[in-house]
Amino acid sequence: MKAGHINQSDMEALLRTWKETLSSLDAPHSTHQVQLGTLPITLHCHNPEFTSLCETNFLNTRPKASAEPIRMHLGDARSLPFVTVAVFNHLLTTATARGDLAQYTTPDALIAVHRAAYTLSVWWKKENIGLYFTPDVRQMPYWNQGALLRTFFAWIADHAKMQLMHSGVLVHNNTALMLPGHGGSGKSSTVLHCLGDTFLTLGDDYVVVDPANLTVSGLYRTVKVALEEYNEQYADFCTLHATPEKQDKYIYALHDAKLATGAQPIKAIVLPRITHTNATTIQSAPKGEALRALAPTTLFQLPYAGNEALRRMSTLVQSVPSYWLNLGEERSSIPTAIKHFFYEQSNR
Amino acid sequence: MQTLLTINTPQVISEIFDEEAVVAHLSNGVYYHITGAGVPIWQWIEQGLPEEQIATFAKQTFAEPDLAAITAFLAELEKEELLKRTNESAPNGGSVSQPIPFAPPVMQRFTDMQELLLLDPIHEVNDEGWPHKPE
Repeated sequence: MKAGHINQSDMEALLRTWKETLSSLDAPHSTHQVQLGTLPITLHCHNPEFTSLCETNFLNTRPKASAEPIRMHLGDARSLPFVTVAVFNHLLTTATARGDLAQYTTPDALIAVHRAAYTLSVWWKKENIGLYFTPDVRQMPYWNQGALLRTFFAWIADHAKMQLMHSGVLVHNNTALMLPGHGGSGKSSTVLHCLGDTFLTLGDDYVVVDPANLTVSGLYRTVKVALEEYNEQYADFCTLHATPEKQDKYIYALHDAKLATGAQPIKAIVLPRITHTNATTIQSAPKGEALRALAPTTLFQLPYAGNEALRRMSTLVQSVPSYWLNLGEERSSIPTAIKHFFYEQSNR
Repeated sequence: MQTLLTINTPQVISEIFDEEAVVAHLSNGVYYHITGAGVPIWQWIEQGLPEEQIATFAKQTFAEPDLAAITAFLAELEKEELLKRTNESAPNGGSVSQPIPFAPPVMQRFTDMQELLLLDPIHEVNDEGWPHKPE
């Protein structure tokens, strides 16, 4: 099948076939349990490489018996050959820049591709079945190996009126600080410096926010570290996923002991920015700055994210205070300043 | 039926709070920060208004509005494809309170997120698609 030859009814027929095949699939796989808020998700890994990636990406949580888990199948053209590379290539060239394939979305199924990561995500909402496909998992771009299933999680969160947000999170005494910001803002290095202290985290990249209850919960255990930020002390609380070649960032998997679990109340949004002062300081920031740090970097990376996603982020920004985290050149001052900030907040 | 100015939905989304508007164009990865008189003007456009009605509203809302600045602002919104023109019935005018001081509309444009969208791997495969790289 050549690109450009799949019309909407062809695609609907394909989606039906895929769903039926996955529903009765009896192929070898390993399973991994993930918890998104209160929703249990069972990941069926049809390639050993996906098993390894799930172990790097996610805590293996114990499923809650009360809820029927959402079932997600992860595979490539070797393990799930009914999803052909020809169809994948068609979708790759048909999607919008963000990966939306709205023309093929039906009331039952959401479908999107990540054009840079070469991945296809499908979710049949009614049957609670998902598909995560890449032509060859061994050739998945290195940077995507630390952000598996992002599109799928965004859909599930949205369905539960929650929002996947691009932000680091630090936890201290069962309260959370959100640290949004795009590459180079100092988000990851702040999280890592604080993990070397007594802090915990819910993640460094994507987290799940419940705007109604102002809580945040984690999904990923991965953290990306720029080469120049590499510090041997990180080995105390995280393990290098793989040695990258010609990459500017390492992907680490955080140890269980540094990961907070469950939903944590959000105390504030803290916006890291690199300054040339010696010490780290924290000062009040306009809410508009917080929304601009949080929203574009989230919206432009998630297919189908629109006004509702922006409204949820706005709700969060309007409900909790925002601060600048002026990162000093004396890095040891970062955890001290944040700890002092937590102390002041808890005494208000 | 009249030609109304409306927000270029669904690819343009926005959120207004305090005294500013955050606007994102989802198709091209550009986002904007609007302040001053630009915020009430953006709110009027959200309702869908004829262009001449915006000038009328501005005269009622602001003390000494700079109409040339407003016209330039509308032109900038249109150039950035944040607005579209539609043929519909105009809504009823809203109530007008005491005029407020006019602060020129200001729109800051941010393109730092564009690379996330314009990173286009399609150009890294040839016509046969993945995994064939171009020569």
